[in-house]
Amino acid sequence: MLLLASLIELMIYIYALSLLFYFSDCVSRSVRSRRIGTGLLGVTGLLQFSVIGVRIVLENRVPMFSVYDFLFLFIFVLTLAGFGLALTQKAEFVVLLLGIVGFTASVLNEFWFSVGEHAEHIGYTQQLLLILHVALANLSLVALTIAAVFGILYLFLYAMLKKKKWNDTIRRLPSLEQTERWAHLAVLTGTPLLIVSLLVAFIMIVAQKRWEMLLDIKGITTFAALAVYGLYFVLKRTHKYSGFSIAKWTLVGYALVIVNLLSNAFSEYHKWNGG
Amino acid sequence: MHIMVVGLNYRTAPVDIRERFAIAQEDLSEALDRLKETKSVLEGVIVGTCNRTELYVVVDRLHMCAFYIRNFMEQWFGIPKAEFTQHLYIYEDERAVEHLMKVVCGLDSMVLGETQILGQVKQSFLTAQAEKATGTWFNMLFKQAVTLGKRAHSETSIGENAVSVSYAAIELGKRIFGMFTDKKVLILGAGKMSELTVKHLYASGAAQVIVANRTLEKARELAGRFNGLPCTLEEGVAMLGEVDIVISSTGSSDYVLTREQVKTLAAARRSRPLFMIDIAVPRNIDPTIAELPGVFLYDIDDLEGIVESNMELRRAEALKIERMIRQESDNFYGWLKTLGVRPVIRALQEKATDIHQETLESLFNKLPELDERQRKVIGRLMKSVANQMMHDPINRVKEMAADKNGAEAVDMFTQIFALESRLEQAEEAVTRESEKKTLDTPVFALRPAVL
Repeated sequence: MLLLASLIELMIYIYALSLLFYFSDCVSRSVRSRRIGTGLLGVTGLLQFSVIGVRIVLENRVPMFSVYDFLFLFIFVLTLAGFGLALTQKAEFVVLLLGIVGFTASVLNEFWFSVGEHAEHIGYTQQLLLILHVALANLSLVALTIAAVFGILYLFLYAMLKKKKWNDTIRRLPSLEQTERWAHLAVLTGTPLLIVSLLVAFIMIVAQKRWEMLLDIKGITTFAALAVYGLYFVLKRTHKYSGFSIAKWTLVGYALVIVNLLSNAFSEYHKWNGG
Repeated sequence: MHIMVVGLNYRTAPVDIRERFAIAQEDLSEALDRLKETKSVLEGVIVGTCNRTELYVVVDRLHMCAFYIRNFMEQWFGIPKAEFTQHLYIYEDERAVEHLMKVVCGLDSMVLGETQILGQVKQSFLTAQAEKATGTWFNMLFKQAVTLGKRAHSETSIGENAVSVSYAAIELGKRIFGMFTDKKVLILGAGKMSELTVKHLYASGAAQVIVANRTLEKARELAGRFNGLPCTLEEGVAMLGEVDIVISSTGSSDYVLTREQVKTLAAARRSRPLFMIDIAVPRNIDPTIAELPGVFLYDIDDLEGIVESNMELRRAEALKIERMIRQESDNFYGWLKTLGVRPVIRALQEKATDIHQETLESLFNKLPELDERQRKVIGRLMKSVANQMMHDPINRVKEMAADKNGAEAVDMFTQIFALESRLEQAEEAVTRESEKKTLDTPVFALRPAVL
């Protein structure tokens, strides 16, 4: 346990350090800072992977059923996505924003949630469904987070170009078209994953005959988020609305996803902490 | 020995003077030969571009050397000294080194931070090297300067920001579209400025250029240059729904494009962003169009504001590069100091070799029964002992020579190992060689063509 605690602590420090280097690069362009930041982000990902690996060995299962585990997995995938973007794209601001989301989630996860128990009492088929549901929800959350980051960048760049403000930051951001394309690609990936994840959850409700759960706050907020992303696709398809309006809907959808994530405390649907 | 640069550039000399100092590529080898033969000159590189002609030289003494170089210029270019002396600048030692580094990094260029000069200086150095006009000093200095130039451009953003109005428009367009490969450009009015901007857009891969003008003839002429489509102004405005970029520079005193026209065509645009550049004065595009969603309208003042902001950024980056230059200049002089210790090291190694040889001879005389193999083994072992003994002192004296009081340390080292007489002999040999070269070289080496 001491090993795990040390690994997590080290991961948070290195994550913070990586963000500091990225922040320094974004404030005052520095190739060296960016390279160090990218290297440290890679180390962070490696440490997160080690934590998951150590837990798999210690607990003899994949840790993914508690809120803590879900968030840890989400942060790991987000770090990998950020690292991948840092290596392949000139998108330091995107990496910084993803890093801020990941780091904040890491710290809050350590403060707010405990590792918790897992749902061992359910049957084998249901456990498989649960794994599928959690994994899909996790990947969908990562994709929608990336979409939200690109949405924020789009709104920022759009506003700056409209106001005719020109500085080094503007020059380093991806273009409006690229930002829109990436955001759309991320929503296009995240929404179907969320739908399938929700379908799997629905099958589990049917299997357990817990019909009342359909009206749970968790379910309602998920449907609301899906409705917003559906509206996003409709607006996008009509070609009548500017990228600015579309980007705003991406953020509204993501806000609902976050509300959904935070609504566990008021929800009977998920017995995340071992129920 | 000293480093000196003598030259003239766009700041010190007008173009009618500069053009007379141009050296054709085919004459450069001969010019380098002549420069090399000039009195006091030990190494030389000639950098010639449209904005500068500079002669970099390593000389054995500073006194009179500028005079010899001016004579060389007078003879080579066939221009009396009185006509160009006031346009010349002369920098010596550290200032000359820093000047070269500034030139290479584009800090001395007309367009601050331009990269072309880096390649030109590199080429000049390679030509001089091929002509054997460079030696130990310039081989090191120019390589170091070129590496610094590359670093300056890769580690700072000095060359990244547009400093002309037409490039600023392209840069802005890239923030909106990223690439222009599938973009359609509409030019309203066949003015010179819009032609320049569309030229850059076309070079960046714009898919189609539509030229709209009051007189169709002029539109045809400009469209022909970009494989474009000519049309009248009215037809051009009607095509607003299809295009992505509009550049306007008509001579009209009234708005050519009104808010209502653009708003009406918004449905046909299907939410695609529209980038509009109004270069005309008075303006051709109603400024309230900028309030419409998805429309980015920039006039000439906006573009000039971007250029100024970019210049500001380049100046800030130039300060960073100046710090890099100071560091690199220190590194070069540090290396030069270690260069001074080389004769001392050589003298020590020669002394060790002499002792080794003498001891071996004495030993073999005392032990004549040793066979050839035994002699070889003993010889190798003794050499190894001598080398190991010298390894640390040689490394230490190199380090000490690069320090602030390096000269004193080298003197002490010379005394400790009693190398004075060997160094004196070596110095006398070098002086004899130098005198021989000076006697062989006339004060004024005239160009055969002039003669």
